[in-house]
Amino acid sequence: MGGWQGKVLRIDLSAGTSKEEPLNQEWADQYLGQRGLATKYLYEEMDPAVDSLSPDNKMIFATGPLTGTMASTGGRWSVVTKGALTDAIACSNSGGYFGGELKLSGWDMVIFEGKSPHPVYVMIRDDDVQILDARDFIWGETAWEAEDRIRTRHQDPLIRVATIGRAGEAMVRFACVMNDKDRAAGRSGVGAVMGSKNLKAVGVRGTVGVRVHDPAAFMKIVSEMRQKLDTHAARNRLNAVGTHAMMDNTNAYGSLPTRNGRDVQFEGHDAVKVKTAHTKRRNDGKANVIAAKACFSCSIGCGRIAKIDPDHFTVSSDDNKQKYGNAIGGLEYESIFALAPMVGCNDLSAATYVNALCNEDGMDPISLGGSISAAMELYEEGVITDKETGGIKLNFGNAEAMCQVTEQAARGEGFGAEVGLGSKRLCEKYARPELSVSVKGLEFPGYDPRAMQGMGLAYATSNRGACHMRASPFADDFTHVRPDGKAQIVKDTQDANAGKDATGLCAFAGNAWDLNDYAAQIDAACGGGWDGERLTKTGERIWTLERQFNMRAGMTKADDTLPERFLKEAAKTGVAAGRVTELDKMLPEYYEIRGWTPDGVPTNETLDRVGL
Amino acid sequence: MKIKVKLLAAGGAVPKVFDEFGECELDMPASTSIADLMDKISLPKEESYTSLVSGQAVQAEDRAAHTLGDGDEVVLLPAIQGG
Repeated sequence: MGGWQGKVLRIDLSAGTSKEEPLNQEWADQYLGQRGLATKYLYEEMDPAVDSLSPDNKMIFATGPLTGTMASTGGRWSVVTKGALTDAIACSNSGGYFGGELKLSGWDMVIFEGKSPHPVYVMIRDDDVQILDARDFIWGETAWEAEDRIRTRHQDPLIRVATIGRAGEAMVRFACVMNDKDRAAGRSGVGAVMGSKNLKAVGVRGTVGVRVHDPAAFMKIVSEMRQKLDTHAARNRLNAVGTHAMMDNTNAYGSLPTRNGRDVQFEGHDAVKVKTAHTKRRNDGKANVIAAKACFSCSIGCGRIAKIDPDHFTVSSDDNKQKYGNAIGGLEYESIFALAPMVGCNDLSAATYVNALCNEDGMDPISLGGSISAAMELYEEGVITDKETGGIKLNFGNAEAMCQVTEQAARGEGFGAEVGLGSKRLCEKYARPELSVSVKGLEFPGYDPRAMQGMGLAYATSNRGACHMRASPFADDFTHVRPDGKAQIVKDTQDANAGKDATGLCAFAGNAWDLNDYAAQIDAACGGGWDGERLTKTGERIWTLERQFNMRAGMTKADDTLPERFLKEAAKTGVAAGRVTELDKMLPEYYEIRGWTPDGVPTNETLDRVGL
Repeated sequence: MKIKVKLLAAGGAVPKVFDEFGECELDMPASTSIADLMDKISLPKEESYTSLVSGQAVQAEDRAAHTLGDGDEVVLLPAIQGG
């Protein structure tokens, strides 16, 4: 056996104990790793109907069989739990270096149960596992501070840390688990679940290594795949200009959600587009983007290092904020979309600052931006006033207000605490649920579903709520503005992406690799006859299991929908001007293709076919 | 006739015909179609592209029949994935 380590670490936070268990290899053969295997464990061990913030919820840190190997992009890991934002299955996928280090310490997964009676952190050095007091040490500190202090206390600069910031402690509903300062298991509120368990951080140092089934075959296929990836135009674009380049596309096409989805193109685009982020400023001679960065074993390097304009109000007004003027994690497409067009702000430095606050205190910038934009619409509609906001003028386009509310949200204070509920709970509180641009409580990513109909179906049917990584209808959506054919594309790419998310590799490698390419590396590492067809079937099994989890949690067909705005209000401009999302045409076809009943329930025949 | 072309989301290996901002103006014969134009530009083969003329999408199967006029602006979008 190779790829898998064959060991699971189970930590009972209530009792303060840990124990080693053998990996269930039968499940690993069926669900591979990461998103698939951890969901299987969660489904078998836990009642999906539990309160997501109760000790009964479990949280799993999971690697894949290729995590920690030299396969390009082999640094991915996932947090799998019931999401605090969505009350649905949550699988938040992160990069950086933590996942590789966890795998190198000899563990496939860590399962956290219960709730510690006081704040703790966990230190893992290979087989040595300690549960340590976090009080008077890192509890109450930011994610950045916690990471630095753990390395200092344990005298090892190579320790990797996954931690919550103050937002996770305050159980902000869209809190993340952060690692390596600016990488995040970002969506669904997994950081709030970690905070509810009084678990601040996990430090890990691994020296065990990862065995592979056939080292010679593995070296050969990994080299071939790296060559294929590194010469691909999409990889070169991601390295040169990052994911931010997507905004050129969505703005031109008319699929850039703007002002909480009221508009689909942003008149302030020029101020926040990728070219502007790469243009040197006159005052300091630097651009917003100053470098690219890569995760463990990655040869793409899509991450950004940024520097805020030193004259910008976010860093020039207060000596305590000068740290944000240093080199910091930069913007990705999803963060710049959510912190600029979605809130109507054309301020690149403000977006970079708010993104830094999200990294520092562990918040999902997509859901933060979507929650602020919902609050802005409530404010402009007169539903909330200065009384509720504490005097903050929360109009669309007010970058200073966005910064103020974010600072509050990170600490669970003031009106920021209400924003920290997420847009769904916030809008329900003020009796305007239709203004939450979310599905299953998860705020929209940066694709308006009126111009991108396939993405609309993908949002509606995604098991974790509105997500751009669960299906990949991009190519067809950027070509055809109509519902025809979308159901099959969405179903096929949902299955494919679920398979990829179980490997330990990054979805972005899928720009160059097909499923056979992913599977060939799995087969060399693990043995057992993995090919693209088996990986596709594994993906469909994972997707269906997630659906079963959500159904047992109480979700129904009624949750497979979009906010009213996108079904009733036509896009004003762009290629889809005059159109709404035709979900009513796509959803029945999707259910039929999946082998589900008209009510969205997998039939017994389908369950048999996918191996459930 | 003059056709202005914008290649959006430019980065990495941009065809030499474009400037550093992914823009160029080409002198093309009358009756040039979008398909003719895209052949001339030599875009990377491994990616698919969306074509917009005056803000309206022209589908791949219609590019050969869609002739351009003097002063038209063609916008090309690679079908990249977000993140």
